[in-house]
Amino acid sequence: MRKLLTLAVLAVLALLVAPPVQAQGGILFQGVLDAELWKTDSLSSLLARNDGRPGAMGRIGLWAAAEPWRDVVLFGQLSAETGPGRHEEGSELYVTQYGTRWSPSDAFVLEAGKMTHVVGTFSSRWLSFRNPLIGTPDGYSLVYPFGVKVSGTASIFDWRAAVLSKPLTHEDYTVEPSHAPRPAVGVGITPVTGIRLGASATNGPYLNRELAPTLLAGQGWRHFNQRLVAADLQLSHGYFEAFAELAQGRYDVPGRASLSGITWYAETKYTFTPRLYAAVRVERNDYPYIMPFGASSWIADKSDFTDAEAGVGLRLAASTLLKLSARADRWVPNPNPYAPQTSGRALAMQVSRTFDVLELATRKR
Amino acid sequence: MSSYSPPVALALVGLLAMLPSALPAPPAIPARPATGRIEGEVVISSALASRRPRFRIYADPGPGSRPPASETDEIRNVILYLQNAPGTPAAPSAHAAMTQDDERFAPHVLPVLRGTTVDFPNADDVFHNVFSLSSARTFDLGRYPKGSAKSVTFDRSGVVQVFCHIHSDMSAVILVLDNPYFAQPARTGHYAIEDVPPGEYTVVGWHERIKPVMRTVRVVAGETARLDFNIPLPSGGENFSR
Repeated sequence: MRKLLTLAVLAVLALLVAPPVQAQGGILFQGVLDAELWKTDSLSSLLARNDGRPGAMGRIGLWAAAEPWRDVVLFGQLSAETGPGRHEEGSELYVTQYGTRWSPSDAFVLEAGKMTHVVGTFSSRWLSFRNPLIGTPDGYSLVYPFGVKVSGTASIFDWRAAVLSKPLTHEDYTVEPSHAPRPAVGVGITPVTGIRLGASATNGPYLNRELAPTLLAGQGWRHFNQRLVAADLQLSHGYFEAFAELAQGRYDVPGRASLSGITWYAETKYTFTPRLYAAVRVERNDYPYIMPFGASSWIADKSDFTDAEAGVGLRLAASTLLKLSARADRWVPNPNPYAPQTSGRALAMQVSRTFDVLELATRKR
Repeated sequence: MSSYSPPVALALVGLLAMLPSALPAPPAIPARPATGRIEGEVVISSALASRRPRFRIYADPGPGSRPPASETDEIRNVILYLQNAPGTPAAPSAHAAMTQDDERFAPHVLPVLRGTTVDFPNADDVFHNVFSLSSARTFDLGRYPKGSAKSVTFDRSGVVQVFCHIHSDMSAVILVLDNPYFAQPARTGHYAIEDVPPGEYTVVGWHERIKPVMRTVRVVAGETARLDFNIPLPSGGENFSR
């Protein structure tokens, strides 16, 4: 992994310092570079990084698209991050998305490959130049299943339907799911400019095929489903904008009654001047924590916490954004010793810079 | 020695007095114009790919989730202007306009005289938030819906890069110039700068992605100076904005 990361960094550096070349048409190659500094509690379940010591980390995201035929786009995206300020130790390279998209009209777009999930909208805003804060809602983890998706917009309505290979789960709360096809649908309405209401749902297996039959109460892992229903709201007026999402999930648990829970967040942002904005996000997570325990039993309980993040963003240049944020969470004590439940605080600073690789390669001489 | 009788003399005097008005007026010599003209052709010298993939790596669902096809006529993004021209022109009273249409700024490049007020109407079904952080003019118009327009006056010359907070791939340039002697080529590449005072000037061929191309020209009153430009554009497509 370290070699891959080194290669990726070298490739990007080579592109940045490469002599000007003749760029080809019909190609898009862009990216974002993030540098972050974190100071957190040492024991927090959700927020601890680098054992509580100040830690820095760097992240690069690159995405490219080519249009070999009109309305047919091939695309790919990768992200690499390293540094002691990461939530997990070490370095990592993710190939997040790749596939092909056919867009014959606004009302019909066909996409196949590795893609964002249909349920939830935060995944479309997680990149640093779209996320007004530094952290992300815990209940809306980034999942990139394989699948085939059709989507479109017509008048005030938008829709999307897909068959995807993975559920929308969080690795800290449920096991890493195996691939299995599941349907997912989403609809939205934009009654007036600046307000959009959306709903989405999915149903399918969420467990891992490696789990022992004894753990699965003698049944196959595909018998245990996750059913997820979600709603979202986007609001924008003047210098103010807001996002809110709510998801209700019900999980089949081996040998036990099914368990359900809710997660929601609300986020607001206000832009004071061209360079300065402030943002706040509040999250409530009452979501199932379901993990195998021992040879034949399961822990199935709720993770019960509230967290909030507040921050400011200062646009240093059109492509460079500096963010400062503070985040705190409060967990309700849980008698289950295995469930995450330690409260904590985190301070973070992030500088992000977007760039166009083709433009860099052909910049003014 | 002959002599005229008084009535005849009076008649002759009267006739002579009428003579200037009775004769046809001599042909008028046209006044020499005080200004000249510069015209020429603009050629973009590299093969252009004006279309970038219709793609956003992440997009909110709903209207505006997909970018428009970027069909840009790059020749219209070239501006020709005189670098140093005499006089201090008054700020124009007429407004210029840069529309947000189909999630693009139209025109992509707008040359204006210093002091001009530019309107930014929103013609899209989604909100836009026009802003600029350029030193020549910093502004943020906030979010506003279809049918609304906000205005900005540009009092300092320079390059003003314009973006939209909401749609990161929207960008445009307002080129604020010190004098009114500028032109935007037609799609054929032909341009003309009218009413230029006589003198020797540097004409700048400007495009946002290249170092300005400069050529000198001598303008003679009443004549047209010919000056062609070759704009060596290195790549196609629109800029990624933030």
